[in-house]
Amino acid sequence: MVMKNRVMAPDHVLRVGAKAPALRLPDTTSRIFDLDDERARRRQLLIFYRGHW
Amino acid sequence: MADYQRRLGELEALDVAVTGISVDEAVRSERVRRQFGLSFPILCDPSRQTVRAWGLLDPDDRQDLAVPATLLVEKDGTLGMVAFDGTRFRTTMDAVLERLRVGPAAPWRPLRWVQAWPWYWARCIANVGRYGMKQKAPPG
Repeated sequence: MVMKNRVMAPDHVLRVGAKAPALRLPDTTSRIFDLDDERARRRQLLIFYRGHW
Repeated sequence: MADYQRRLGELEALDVAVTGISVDEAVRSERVRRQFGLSFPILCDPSRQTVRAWGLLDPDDRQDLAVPATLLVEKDGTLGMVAFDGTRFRTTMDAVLERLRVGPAAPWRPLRWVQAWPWYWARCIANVGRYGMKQKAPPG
């Protein structure tokens, strides 16, 4: 069975030990979430999902 | 997401904050949040700019959804864990917690001088025969 690699990220972008790209997005209450500020406080677990899963 | 909510306490004890990210509008994500009673934030990226910048836009999907992925960002801004889950199954909570408790995988280390001797390897093979391949979990 051939598995197609669905992720188009170049290898150097998302790799363990590499610097995480910038992330600055509003949450559902329109509060801006800035990864650089948040991760300084605590480690961040980011879950990219679709629907509810 | 419901799984993460259920075990949020365990994650917080390990000094980890959870954030969900989807390409849905805020209204839709808020509905999901309420439905599952999520207390962690859900970020909305309807313009898909960030998802594209992170290389997580699903090229096969007609609706331009994000590839399900689970990433850990350490305090210094580096990625501590990268899992591209795809649409079949997600990285389990157990795997995430295991990774957080154990820490990053040990880097490959160069050969030590004892390993140049054949009886080092003979001892290794004998030990595997005696104790098995897998190390037992420490008690407790």
